[in-house]
Amino acid sequence: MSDGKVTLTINGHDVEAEENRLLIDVAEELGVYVPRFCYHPGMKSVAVCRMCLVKVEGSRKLLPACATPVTDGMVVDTVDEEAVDAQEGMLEFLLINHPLDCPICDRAGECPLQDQTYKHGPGSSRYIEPKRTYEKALEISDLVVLDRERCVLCWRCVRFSEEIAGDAFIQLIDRGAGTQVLTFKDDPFDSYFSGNTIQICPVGALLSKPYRFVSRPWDLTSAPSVCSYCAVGCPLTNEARAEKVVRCQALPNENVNDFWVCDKGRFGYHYVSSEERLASPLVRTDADEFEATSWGRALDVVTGRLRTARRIGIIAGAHLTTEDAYAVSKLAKKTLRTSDVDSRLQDAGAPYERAAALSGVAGSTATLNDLESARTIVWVGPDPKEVLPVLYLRLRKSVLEEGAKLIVVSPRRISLDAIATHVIRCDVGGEAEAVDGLTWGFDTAVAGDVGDPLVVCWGPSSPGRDEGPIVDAVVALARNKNAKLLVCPPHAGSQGMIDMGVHPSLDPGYTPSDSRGKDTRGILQAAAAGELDILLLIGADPVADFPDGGLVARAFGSGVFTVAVELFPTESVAHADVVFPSAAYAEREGTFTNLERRIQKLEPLTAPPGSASEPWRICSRIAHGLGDDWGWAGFNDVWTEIRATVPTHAHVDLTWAGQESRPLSLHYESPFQPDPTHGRSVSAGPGAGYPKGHRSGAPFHTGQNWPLSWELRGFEARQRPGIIPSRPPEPPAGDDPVSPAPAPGAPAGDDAALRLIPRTDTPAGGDASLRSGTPLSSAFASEASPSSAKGWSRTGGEDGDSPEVKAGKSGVPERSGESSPAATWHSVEDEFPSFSEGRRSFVLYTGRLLYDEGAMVSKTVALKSLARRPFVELNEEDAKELGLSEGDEALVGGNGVRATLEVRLGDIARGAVFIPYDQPGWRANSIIRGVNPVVEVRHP
Amino acid sequence: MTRRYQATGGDIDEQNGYRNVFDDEQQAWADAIVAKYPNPRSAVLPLLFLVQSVEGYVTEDGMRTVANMIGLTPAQILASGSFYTMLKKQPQGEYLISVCRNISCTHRGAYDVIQALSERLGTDAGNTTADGRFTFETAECLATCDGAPSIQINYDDFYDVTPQDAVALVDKLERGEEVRSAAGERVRTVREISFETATAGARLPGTAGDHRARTVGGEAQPSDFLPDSRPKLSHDEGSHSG
Ligand code: SF4
Ligand code: SF4
Ligand code: FES
Ligand code: FES
Repeated sequence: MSDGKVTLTINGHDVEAEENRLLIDVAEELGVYVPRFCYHPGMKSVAVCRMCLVKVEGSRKLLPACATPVTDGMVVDTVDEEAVDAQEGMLEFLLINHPLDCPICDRAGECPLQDQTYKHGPGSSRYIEPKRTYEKALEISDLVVLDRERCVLCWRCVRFSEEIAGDAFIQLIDRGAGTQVLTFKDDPFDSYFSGNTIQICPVGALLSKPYRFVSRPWDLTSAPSVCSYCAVGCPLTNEARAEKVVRCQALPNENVNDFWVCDKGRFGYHYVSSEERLASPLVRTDADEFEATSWGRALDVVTGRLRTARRIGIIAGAHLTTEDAYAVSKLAKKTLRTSDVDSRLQDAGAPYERAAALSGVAGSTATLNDLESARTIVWVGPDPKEVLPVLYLRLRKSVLEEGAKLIVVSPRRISLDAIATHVIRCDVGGEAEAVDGLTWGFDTAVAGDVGDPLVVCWGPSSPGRDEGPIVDAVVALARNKNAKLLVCPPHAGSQGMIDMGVHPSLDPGYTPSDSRGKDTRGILQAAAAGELDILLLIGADPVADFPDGGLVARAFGSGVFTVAVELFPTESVAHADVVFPSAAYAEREGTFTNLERRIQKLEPLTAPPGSASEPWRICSRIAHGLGDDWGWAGFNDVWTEIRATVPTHAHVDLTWAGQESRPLSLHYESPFQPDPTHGRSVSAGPGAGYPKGHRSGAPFHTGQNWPLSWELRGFEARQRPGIIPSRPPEPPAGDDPVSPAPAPGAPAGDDAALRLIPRTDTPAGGDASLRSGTPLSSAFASEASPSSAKGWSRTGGEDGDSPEVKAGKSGVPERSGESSPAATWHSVEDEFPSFSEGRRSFVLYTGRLLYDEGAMVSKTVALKSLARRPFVELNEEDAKELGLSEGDEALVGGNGVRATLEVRLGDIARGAVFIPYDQPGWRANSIIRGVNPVVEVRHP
Repeated sequence: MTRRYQATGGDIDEQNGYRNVFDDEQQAWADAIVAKYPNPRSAVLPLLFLVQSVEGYVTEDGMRTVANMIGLTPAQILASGSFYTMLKKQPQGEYLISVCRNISCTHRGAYDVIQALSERLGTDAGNTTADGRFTFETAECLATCDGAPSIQINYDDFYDVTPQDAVALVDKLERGEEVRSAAGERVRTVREISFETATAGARLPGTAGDHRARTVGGEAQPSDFLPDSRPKLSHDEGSHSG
């Protein structure tokens, strides 16, 4: 047939389908469910389980529906006697070795093997010999438990880890009669995506350690939600038992996460029910202690202060929802009439607003799906596997499955290097130059022809440095090559904050503010200088997150009156005068806006502790106390207002939020509701007819991957596509802050800054001199008080002279020496000390790892223990000059603080060191001072 | 069993340290083997044989060494390697004696041979002698039924083996004397045959030809072992070599 369509007959029904689609999918869409174990729509077919055998006319043998593309005129019978006999036979074989574990198996009640045995299996077994046994439940990681006896050898976990995640730590070994699923010796299943194997395992062989034996699926209530960690915004389902979130699983959305989430998203729910959550408002008493109080009194204290305050600074956290962001923005800009409001903490140096130069949108113009149709992708940013894990999976898929070329620009080796077509190893800060090189010297051999779909991705990588030049270069590249831009802010709420104008120079909808306010650094500097009357922290923890620990200490040291809205008693909260408890993502209605500006909805599942409340409500109550009644009673009121006042969001339609309660059964044949036309009838027995997965109270099947048709149907029926708001018209060309394209043949920039590294080569060492993007002398330019500056070189490095960092339990480096925040070991005028002295200045390149000491992860029991110890990563040559080798301890000093860190040798630009930002007992912001920080490293 | 670890997201560079089992010369061979293939991961099996030639069997460090060389995970190496019975996952004797116990051989006295060997070696089938010289196993049909009872020593065939023959073979090997199979080939140790298997077709850079210890065919000499106490069954020598 023409136009790529074919017509076939399935169980007597004619159906039209696209060519090359798999029979199993086409049948399913028709409502004919073919049983299966190995097939998973997110992975390639392998057809190993033989459960999906169907009769196809003209074929001598039965064909596996999961590996048979539909063809024109095909006549298929899935319930032919022969096919049914084969299905029964396969199940009988599978059950030969399957233990009778259902009574003690987590999967019972939502188990594909159980379900299919009811529907398609023989009623009893003829097998009487002993079953194969293995040692029970092995903990193959801190998150995953493996029970090999239950495995049906479907290869799903193996394929997932090889094909999707790219870290093949789980395999079928001893292949043959004794095939079993296992990891290598005692190596842990050390994957950031390991939890997905639990969800797709069609039996209870792979189990979640935190959820093990916690609940029966029919005792769970559930609600759709969105991950509260990173800016990818994976749709999730939260499941609770007795008002406590006990499990969290991926919801499929082919636009966002396919079928997957990372382990941080999957296992990171414990914090919600942590005992440490704040449950009531607190005020500081005269005795300098917190005292629980009523909302009325706490609000009175705050509004009383705000009424007289002239200089107000507001810092909001990037884990808040879009409505919270709108409320913060409104409180600041309308009620309090200040533009001194910002949400950028770790990404304090990231001028997202400059991205608006491309299209008027201070964010992405590309979607995640654009990555897959791109011919070339340019990545300039942090390691996505650490900070935006599922984006890493999407990039990996685009490159390995869709054949996109990937150009990685990074000062150090990141996970993407392994799949990149080209790696440009630049100096820290040299990214801008490298991207300029791509713009003007665009090598078509490297990056495809101009006009081919190109997506340029940028995300702020090293907290504390100025990303401005990089953003400008990235925007110029996108503009000149007519590319789309994927802006990758770090956190779940980051984009919503920018969209809603929690920004010193942008109002909601990317309208430039009338007056330019202070950014986070400016607000903290004002506080430090005693020029701030009140500081509002709304879900923000600058002590942990702001990349200049000294400045934060001075800001709080000034005694500025501080109000905090928080989940936990963080260290910033410890400095507050009034504290309001905040509701967590699983306890509230709301939306997150992800990095492609897709708005997705959260539904409440559990009740917040005590009187904790949504930050938007708290903002509105504060405004109310100041005589500004916003008239918001609920979530929908906030959105009515957002639609009315934010031009980009005028057409955002949240009615899809209600679709979730639409029952799925409209066009779904459950294995338990045998359809007289298509299916065989099932003899009634224990459990037959039980509406598996469709639990009362749950708006849709949320728990499992099973039956897979739930997932497929889900794409339509419970589709949570989110909305990507349209963008306002492009700004007039005259306002273009990006330099116009040069005449053809313009010089290609500084070639020396570009080192193209074919993927298998080891990088060149580069020259020994430091070529950071910013001259050292400007490293402290924004800091006005290096008064008692003491260079490391000048004091000769006597240990007694320098405060030593002890990695305290609190995670905050403690100073044992003098505590003047202005003390530093290297003054502005310092030259590099000579190498012979055994110490050197390095440009600090830092970044988060997936499991860090963030407030949410560290309150999550399952993940806490996984966080890596801090380390300092050095170029091999640099390390050699310092006499350091892998595993040694090195002294790292900056901002008057010294720490002892383990040395790792890595593929990093010379003259730079990488130190993770926030690991157990360690905060890199303690050694960061000013913008573009420099640290010294030496042999201890 | 709880495994303590810090999550690295599967960064292989971060894997626990291991011992590289190859010395410089062996490493040169390993590189030469990898060079034979367009895709390094195709070299898994020969590299595992090289590990076996060095270590006596496929050790954990050996698998890690190979994984690291060709960019696979140790789990993937184990998954491929564990399929092949000639790659040994346990410490192995220098000589592997396999006695067929299928129908033809059983009829012609295989179990007498098994019993004689058990007594001589002081161990039941399936085990390795305490001195580590012999591993003794029973096998399914060795495809030389016309020479029943058949045994193999390191995959070289011996036919019409009496219990006394089997014991005599062990004695000879133990004394370090040369033993030739029915095909007239010198019986070599597990390490030797592993090395040959690993390096077949590979050549070290700067050398002329392939460095196999033995040239297949042509050099076979008459077997020095085939006692004439029993009528010899006629078979085509050389066509049965394992
Ligand atoms: S452990 Fe589960 S997913 Fe993996 S092969 Fe076995 S049954 Fe399949
Ligand atoms: S990738 Fe990001 S959004 Fe998705 S589950 Fe992980 S942390 Fe959450
Ligand atoms: S063979 Fe088709 S689902 Fe397994
Ligand atoms: S039965 Fe022993 S070799 Fe065939």
